Amino acid sequence: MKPIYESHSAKVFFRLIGLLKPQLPFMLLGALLSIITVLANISLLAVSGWFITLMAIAGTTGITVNYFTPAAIIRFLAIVRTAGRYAERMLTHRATFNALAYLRHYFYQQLEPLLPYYRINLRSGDLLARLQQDIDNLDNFYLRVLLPIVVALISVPIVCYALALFSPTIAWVMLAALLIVGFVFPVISYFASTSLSKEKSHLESHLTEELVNGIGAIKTLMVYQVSISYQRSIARITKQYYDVRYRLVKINARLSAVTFLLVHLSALACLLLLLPPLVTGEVDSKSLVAVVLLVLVSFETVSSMPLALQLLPQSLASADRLFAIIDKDKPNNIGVETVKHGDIHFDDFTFSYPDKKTPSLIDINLSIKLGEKVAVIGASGAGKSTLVNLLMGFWPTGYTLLSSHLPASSSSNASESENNKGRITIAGCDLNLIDRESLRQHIALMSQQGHIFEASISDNLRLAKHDATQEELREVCQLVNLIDFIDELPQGFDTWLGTSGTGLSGGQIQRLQIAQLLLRSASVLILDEPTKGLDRHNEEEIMSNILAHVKQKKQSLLVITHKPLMLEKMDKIIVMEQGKVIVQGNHKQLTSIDYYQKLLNYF
Amino acid sequence: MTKKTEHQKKQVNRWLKYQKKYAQGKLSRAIALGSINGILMILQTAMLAYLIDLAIFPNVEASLNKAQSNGAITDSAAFTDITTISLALVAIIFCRAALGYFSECYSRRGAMDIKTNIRSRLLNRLFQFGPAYTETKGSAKLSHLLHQGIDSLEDYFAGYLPVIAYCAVIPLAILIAVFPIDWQSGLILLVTAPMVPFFMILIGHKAQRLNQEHWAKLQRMSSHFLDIIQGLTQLKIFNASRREIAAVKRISDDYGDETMGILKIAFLSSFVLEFLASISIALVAVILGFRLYYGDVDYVFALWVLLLAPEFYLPFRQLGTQYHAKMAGVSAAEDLVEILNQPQVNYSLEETFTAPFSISVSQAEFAYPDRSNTLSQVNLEFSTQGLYAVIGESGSGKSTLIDMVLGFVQPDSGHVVANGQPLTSANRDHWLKHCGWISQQAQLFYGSLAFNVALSDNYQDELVIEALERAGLANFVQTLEQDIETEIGENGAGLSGGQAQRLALARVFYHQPDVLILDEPTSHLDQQTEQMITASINAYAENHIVIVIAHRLHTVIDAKKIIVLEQGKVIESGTHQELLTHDGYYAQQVNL
Repeated sequence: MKPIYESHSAKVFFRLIGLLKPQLPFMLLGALLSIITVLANISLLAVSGWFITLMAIAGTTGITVNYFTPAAIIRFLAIVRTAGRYAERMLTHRATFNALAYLRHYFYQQLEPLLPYYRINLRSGDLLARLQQDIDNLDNFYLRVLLPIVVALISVPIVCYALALFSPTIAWVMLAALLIVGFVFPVISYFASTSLSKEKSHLESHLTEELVNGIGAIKTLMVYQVSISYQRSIARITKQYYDVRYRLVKINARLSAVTFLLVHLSALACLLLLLPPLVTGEVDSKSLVAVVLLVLVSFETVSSMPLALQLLPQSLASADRLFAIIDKDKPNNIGVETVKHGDIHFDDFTFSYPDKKTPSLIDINLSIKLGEKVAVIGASGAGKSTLVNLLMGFWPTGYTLLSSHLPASSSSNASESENNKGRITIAGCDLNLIDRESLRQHIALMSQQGHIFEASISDNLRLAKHDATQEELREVCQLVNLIDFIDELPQGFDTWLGTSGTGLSGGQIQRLQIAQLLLRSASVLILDEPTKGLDRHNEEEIMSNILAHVKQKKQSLLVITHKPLMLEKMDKIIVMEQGKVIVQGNHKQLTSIDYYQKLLNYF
Repeated sequence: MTKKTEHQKKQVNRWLKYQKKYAQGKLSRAIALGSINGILMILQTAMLAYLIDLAIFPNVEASLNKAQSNGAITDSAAFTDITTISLALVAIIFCRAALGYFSECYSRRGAMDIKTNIRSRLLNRLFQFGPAYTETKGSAKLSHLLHQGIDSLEDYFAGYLPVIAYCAVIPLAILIAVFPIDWQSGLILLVTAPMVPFFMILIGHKAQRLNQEHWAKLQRMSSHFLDIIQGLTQLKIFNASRREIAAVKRISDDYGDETMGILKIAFLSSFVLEFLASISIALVAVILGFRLYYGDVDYVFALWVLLLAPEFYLPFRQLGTQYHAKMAGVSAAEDLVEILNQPQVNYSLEETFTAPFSISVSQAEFAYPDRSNTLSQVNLEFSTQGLYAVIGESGSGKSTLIDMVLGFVQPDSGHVVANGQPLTSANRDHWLKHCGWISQQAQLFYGSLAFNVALSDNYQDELVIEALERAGLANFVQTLEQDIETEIGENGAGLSGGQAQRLALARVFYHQPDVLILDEPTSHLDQQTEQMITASINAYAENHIVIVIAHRLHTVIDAKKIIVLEQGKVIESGTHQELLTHDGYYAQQVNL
């Protein structure tokens, strides 16, 4: 936390608190219980000391005393402390989980319109993992950051006030001591460890990288006889990493040691400070014992502060990153029209991504007629996937609607209109005017970056059609030759997929995604490299199944493929290169063209 | 719970305890210092009690004997006493702070030493087993185990183990100190003490069972959240994003409920613990109070016992908080033990291979566990020099065949023989000295360009430059400010896929392996780079054995022999022309 960021940090802090508003009553109740518990705990020992001193004096002097009240108080405090701790923990954790569920939902909702629009910035898996990590980090915010701070802020004055009843000097001494232990020491140790912490996290990720890299490249390392030196280098990094960690441990251990010193020395100091008033009779001996014991345990009010102050910058940094992402301009979809059945047309269409200067598609003219089967081929980077993504409505298109669609910041750019012109229409209606949900109801896509979820096979399939019946699932799995495999699995359609479940081979994933697509009751099906990773037998069978399926359902088909097997059966083949359509026609017409042949051979 | 897992658990616990020796006494030192700290704590409380007693009761006596003249003398005697004891108390406090500091340092350092040791042993073992093992286990999972998995042992060694020791030492020391002075208070502590572990075990067992039941579920839920982010585009395609995000709320709530279910047990256990502790302390206080009232016990002892009582239960309470560390340690250790308990590979020392080379594969059969045959009845011959191409669909056994030739995989039956010697894991490293390897995507390492070519820090600049030139990277290197010393950074950032693959080629030229094996080296490259690399490989094949798994058929037209695999069997082999005349799979693929 550098000073220049302080006002910004404060803003982030209050924005986060603002988000937690719905949870606030629960959270405050939890804080209240925490404070009561802490205070009960502190008083328990103090009252006990007071009580036995009272009894001792009574014993030696033979005065009768009312010992029922203090004994009852001790019992009461013991119960409050124990029950309070239990209730407080239940309540604060409940509040934490509620808050986390709320925050997670909130951030996901905010993220939804941003993907895949900001594909360049949010593309990497690392970034997504960090996003998730940042949301998880907010876990700590209430329980380990906010709560300790609130507890300290409220209970420290109470403790000091109670002490002031006996001796104002002691109250001031203790206020200083509590401040030092709860705030000054943690801040000093935080600053002392800032650079080391940075070095630590750097070495930590370095170690991860080297390990992931090395284990992944184990063949190369072994073939070139460098496994020994690799192991040495890992040992070296480990040593550096642990050396840095050890220095951090030492800083923390020093913090606990000086805290320990301060706690015990201040108890002793208070005792010595109370001796003169004891002699003069300003303070009685019962209170002296009570005060000394109270001082000894009063540090419990700030015991969680070091951790809280350590985590506070972390939580704020996480929140800051999240806010930065969700504050990005969102592409606003103004489309309200429902899709009508009809041909898809690209008219003199040029498109560039919002974050790129050069257009990805240039002067595209093509049509996909109702029920037509169209293939797109081209080298990677030719713009095939962009073509497909635009049809899904992930990016607004065309210059006419630019000003109303693009975020204000980028629409003023004059070169935009140069790089975004022409239009895409479905049954004569501009794509931008169409409601996104309706569009995606009408057009279904199997992309190459498809994602298999950590869920059962049937859950994954039902993402495509949430009310699909078991028969429908079996039917599409039959079409993609997956049914035998699934039936052989002990749990069949309920088999859990993903890293925590059964792994599927590349070909099986591909087939599952085709099955998902076939479940969609769209009028246009788009397949991006559908037969990648499939063996010959499956490829042929599945392709003919797909063709039969679209014919029966009267669906249009758009395929990105290079398989000659399929190309023969297509009504139209569009050859693309560097964002342009260079030629279109059917397989027979194109075979004479050299470039076409070369493309087929190339893959 | 079956008997087998019970046995495994014992094995894991034994293994964990056995690792302590790698801390070279640091853990024992930490525990010893911590125990001394505990004993000093007893002394400290005693002195504090004495000090308070001194402060209060001379005062009482003084006020009683106000009339007597010797009151001032007692006061001053008490005052000197107070000064001495205060000073001693300060000394003890400093000692305890120092002991706490060193104990913490030793225990952490010890834990780190143990982890360093385990990491190097595990890594060594993985290199013994080779890629065949790491690939079946999953390299991502293994590197996670090597890093985070091993690191999660720290709290077990530095936290849990010392607390276990303190649980035995400190309460016992307190009992020994209390009993001779006041057996009644000692008895209260003694009676309540066993209740603590008893209840903890009782609740711990239930918590553990609950933990195991819910663990998988919790993991699934938490991975679901990452899943949603990663698959958001996919969900949008299916118009399912809003529905799924609404489900996130529900699942988060369920996640909270599930976790609360587990925490409830944990809280309940500490509730019982604290309840017992509180009741015991309250009992001690009240009983002491009444005994003081009847003059049954000295005030100083009463106060001391009262101060000791919370400390008596402290180690047990700490044990409760370390329970999680134990669970995490044990579950990481389970995976570690599984790998480290595999039998060692014995290396042969004196088996060397000399050029010229010939490799023959005869009647080789191989199957991965739980899968149908990956290779069956493979007979092949690679000799002297020339380009051999292996083609076939994915899953046809190409990679397994290559692994066999490299000695990473041994056939279940049949032989792979190099220069008359069967390849085994024992002579594998000798054999690999003569081999080179390029994978589908060049594997680059953290370090300079030159390091990546030589794969060693001791390289000859001229040789590196020559190798880079032959790989067609000379121009690229000239554009770099730091020449061959340029760091290529994490994941080969700054190099395009084609450049990275050429770097791998430079590696080959530098090492000049007699047998070069390539796995689809050009499948991710543009045509120009592909042609360049194919030409270099063909040139290299004039003097060496080169075996290439090919994806694009036009790259293998000039091969000495093309081997076609289908479902683990060699279905045809020969030159381009021979195979065209044979009119089988190859001819069909070419003619499409």
